Amino acid sequence: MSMFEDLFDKLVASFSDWIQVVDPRSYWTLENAPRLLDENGNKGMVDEDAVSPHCVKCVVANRCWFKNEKGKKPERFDYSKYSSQVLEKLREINGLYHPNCHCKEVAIPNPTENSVKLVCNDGKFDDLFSRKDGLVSAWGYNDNEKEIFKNNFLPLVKKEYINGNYKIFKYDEYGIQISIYVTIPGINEKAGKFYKRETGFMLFPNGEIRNTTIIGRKWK
Amino acid sequence: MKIYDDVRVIKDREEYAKEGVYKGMVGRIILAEIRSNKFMVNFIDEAFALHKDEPEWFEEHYDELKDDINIPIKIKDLELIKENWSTDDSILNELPANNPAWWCKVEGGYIMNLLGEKKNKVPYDYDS
Repeated sequence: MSMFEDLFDKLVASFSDWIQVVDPRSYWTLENAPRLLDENGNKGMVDEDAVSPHCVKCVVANRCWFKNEKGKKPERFDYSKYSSQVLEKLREINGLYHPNCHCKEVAIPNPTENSVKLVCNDGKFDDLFSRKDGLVSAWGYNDNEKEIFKNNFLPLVKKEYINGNYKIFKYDEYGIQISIYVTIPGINEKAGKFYKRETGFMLFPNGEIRNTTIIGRKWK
Repeated sequence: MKIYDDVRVIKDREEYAKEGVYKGMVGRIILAEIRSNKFMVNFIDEAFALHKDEPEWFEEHYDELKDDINIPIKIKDLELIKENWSTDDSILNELPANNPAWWCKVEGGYIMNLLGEKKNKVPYDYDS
């Protein structure tokens, strides 16, 4: 990267509300964590335990993007106030920014429709229309209108994520799950009605979000 | 056993109980990849099945529905109830970076990936 590009990026980031968590000493992310080089230099499969000594919860946050607001990013924690016994427990809970943690918050430009990659495979919609079909019927969608629902839903999710309308829902060794607040329009006999629901996504590095649960609880 | 299959929990554990999941509950695998010998399983309120043909019920009672529970469950604590629609191709599409080397299904007592490799040495002993 040239010096001017670097300066430009820093300038853009200075006006941004978003950060990326970066551990400059760790190669591991949620996406690549199980892969290690074997003795022949080939990529093989290992469990994420292999990322040691890096903390697994730091690994799953590494390179992910967050709105720079409380509740929307992993929280810093003042470990100096607690005994080592309590710390051991808290470390499990908080993970990121543990003692001697190298993770940093790096300002990044605000995400855009092009920079965010939203992954929500067709199987998620099949799942919704098979297990929660009564619910989508209540919003006016028939069994054969899965595509219409999908085409209404996905752009809404992306827009709300980019606007920072989400919260961290769960943070464990499996990754960081967020709930994005969406307002879903009804169709057919429910046209003109709107349904406020949370939708669940897992954060992946560099602006990728992958759906876990399409429809969650109601938000107000 | 693979993504979108229906599974039953066959063992109680404290970590599951903390999330409200107990032996006998049926859920659905919702992420393709296996991490630390666990599948991510989603449990939904039974009311979705009970009232599936009553759309108006959901308008009136949505607030009463329990939240979904998403929780990693050890493979050895799961029993396959029903295979659904996923295929090797659709699993690959759901894996991080579409990497076929991820462990992603259980067949004949083995944790396997899409390259045909087996993780455990002894069938049904997933820690071997």
